[in-house]
Amino acid sequence: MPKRKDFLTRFGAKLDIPRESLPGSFGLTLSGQEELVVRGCKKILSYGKTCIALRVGKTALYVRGESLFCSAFGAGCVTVTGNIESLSFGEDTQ
Amino acid sequence: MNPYFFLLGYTVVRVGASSATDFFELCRVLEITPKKLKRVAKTEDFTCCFTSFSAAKVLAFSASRGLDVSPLKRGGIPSLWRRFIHRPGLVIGTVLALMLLCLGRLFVWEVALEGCQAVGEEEILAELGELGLKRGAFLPHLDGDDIALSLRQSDVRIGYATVNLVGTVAFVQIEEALPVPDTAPTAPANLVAKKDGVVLLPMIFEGERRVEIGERVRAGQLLASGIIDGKDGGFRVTRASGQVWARTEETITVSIPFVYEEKHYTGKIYSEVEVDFFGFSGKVFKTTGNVNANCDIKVKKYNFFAGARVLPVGFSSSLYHVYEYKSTKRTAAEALALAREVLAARLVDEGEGRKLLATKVETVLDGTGVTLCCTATFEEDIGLISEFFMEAGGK
Repeated sequence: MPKRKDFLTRFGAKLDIPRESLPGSFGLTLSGQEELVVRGCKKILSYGKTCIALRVGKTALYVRGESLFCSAFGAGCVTVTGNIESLSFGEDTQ
Repeated sequence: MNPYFFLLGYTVVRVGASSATDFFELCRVLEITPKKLKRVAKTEDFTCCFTSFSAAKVLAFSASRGLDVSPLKRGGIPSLWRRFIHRPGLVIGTVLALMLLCLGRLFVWEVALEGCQAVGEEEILAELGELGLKRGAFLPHLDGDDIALSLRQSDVRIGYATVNLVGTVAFVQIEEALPVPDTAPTAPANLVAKKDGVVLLPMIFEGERRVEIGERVRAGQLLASGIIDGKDGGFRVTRASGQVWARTEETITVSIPFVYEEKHYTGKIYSEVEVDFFGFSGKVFKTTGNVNANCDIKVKKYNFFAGARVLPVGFSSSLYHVYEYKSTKRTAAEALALAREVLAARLVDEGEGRKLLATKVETVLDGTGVTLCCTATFEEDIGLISEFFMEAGGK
């Protein structure tokens, strides 16, 4: 059974407001395979050479790859650079 | 180095691998982006760079949270300032340099001299120095026209002089005076003998001859008179002149002792440095100028240049080669050979302008050394013009 969308998602859809603009949401911009800008990052959960985990909204974003760095912070954005191989969402275990 | 970091000051920070997550979370919260982020291959630690202000903030928060974060290196202008503020010499030097930059245009940096041919440049520069125009002179107190006029008046060899003050350089142009042709002296004079001798050839151009060939004359004796008797009982006064060639004798004595003092270098060399600043020189070290031993001094001057222009700032280094005198002995043969050598040189010097006819050498050897007594016979002109003064009325 598909997961029911939350109120804000439904509200935004009704009013044609981008989901990213609503509170508690996040956005990702992937530039090639080398740079990922994560907007609405709440916390850095883990920081490693091959995996960086970020809390976005109520979930965790796992960025996997090689030589990963968080190269910039500011205005709720985190820029991850390196050789990005995969992005995945999962449970925030922390 | 990023100029922005250099201006604001920077701190390189090491972050332990175990604290990486919390450290970057802290950076995210503080919205401070670490620059030049690098991972240390062996330890998995990180190094990154912050401005001094951001680093202070990050380090303070890291310390309060117990993170393994430590500063590695600090740099930039604030860091340099903190280092130099503890060295008053550097601060004073910087202030003096700034003062020199501001006040330097009020002083003469160089005196450029043109047109010197027969007159020595050093001489003119010394004269200008006495008139107040020298390196380091205060420009507002200088009047170029006044100095040029004083220079013309003080030195008759200078026909024309101008002083143009352009910036901090004084351009001095010299036009040397034309030489005045010599006028022949007209005062009445006698021709007298300047030394004893036997007259060989009297050639009297003017005056009345008073010596004969083969006559022995004494120094001061009249050779040709400037007063000529007239046939009518009166006399005529003239300036006697001529050449009176005579055979003269001279004794030259050369003594060479067996024991003498010879210069020996000890091998000790002292060096000193003096700073030259607008003609003023000063010691650089406390020991400068304190060498009291006998020494040969070699001085080298180094000037700073701005393009082709010599700046009035420089330094001179002096090397003192210390020596001492040691008593040394020579053999009689060595002393005799040296005495002959010295005598030959003396004869060459003495024979200048006259002809050496014969020599008679007597050698005296005693316990102290060798003495050569040489009687040299020369052929020379012994005539000497001796002026005399005639009062009106013939006295």
